[in-house]
Amino acid sequence: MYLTIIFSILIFFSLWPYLSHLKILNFRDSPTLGERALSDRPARRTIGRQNEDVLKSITAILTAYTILFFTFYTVPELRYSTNDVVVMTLVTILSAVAFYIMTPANRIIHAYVRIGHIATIHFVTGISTFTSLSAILHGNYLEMNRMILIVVLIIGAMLVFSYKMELKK
Amino acid sequence: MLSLSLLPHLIPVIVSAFLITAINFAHLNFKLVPIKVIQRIGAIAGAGFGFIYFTSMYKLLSVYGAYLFDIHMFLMISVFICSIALSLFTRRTAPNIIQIIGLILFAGASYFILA
Repeated sequence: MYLTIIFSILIFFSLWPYLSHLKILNFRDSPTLGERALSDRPARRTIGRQNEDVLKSITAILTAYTILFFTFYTVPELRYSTNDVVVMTLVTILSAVAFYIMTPANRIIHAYVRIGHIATIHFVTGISTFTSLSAILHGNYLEMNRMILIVVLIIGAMLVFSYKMELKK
Repeated sequence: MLSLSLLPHLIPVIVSAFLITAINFAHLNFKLVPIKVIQRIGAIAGAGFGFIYFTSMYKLLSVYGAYLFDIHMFLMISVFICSIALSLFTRRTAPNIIQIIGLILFAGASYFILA
């Protein structure tokens, strides 16, 4: 169980080198250096708070996925104590809440990245949340071959969207 | 392992993947639409997604004996493929060799996880 949870945490934190390599998270340079126009959009004053916005968005996405998967994979257990209508209503309402949190997070992070980068963040966060919740709530542990396949899958996804956001000189 | 015979029953999961992609990414270039409006539309569409995905997942689990891990991975991989398709509309340059290697890795790992 602990191995699966540690694995899911490591998967989630693999976003750190990915985003640092793409300069989406940049704690080295002064933020004011980035106050220039990106190649395909006008200059934004928001570049100065880039790290804060990106981390805020990732936290919101993680929270939304936790609510969503907790709903899908735990609420059905309630069917033994209540009826199906209540379960479906709960699932529908909690899904709506999850997407209510997720949509503004996508809008905030899109000021700094492209759709592909957001898709990769969603992919990694979704798999990480699922594996940890599945281990904690249902006792489903990952075998070693599946862990390796998930790592290859995530590396592939990161390589597909590995282009950088270019700044105009 | 997902059997090919389950493919007709996986169509609602594919529809759910379309819905997630639309909710998450389709509004990103509509900067003039207020975020509150987007949030409400996203919540309504998210409720629809929850209904479709939950019913199909439950049917696959209880009637056809599929594994939860496989259904979930199928959903996540479908969403990512939809995102690749969507990003093709906004991409202006040809893919480089690193991206093609990434696609091959992604496709191979997806095959071995699901098949």
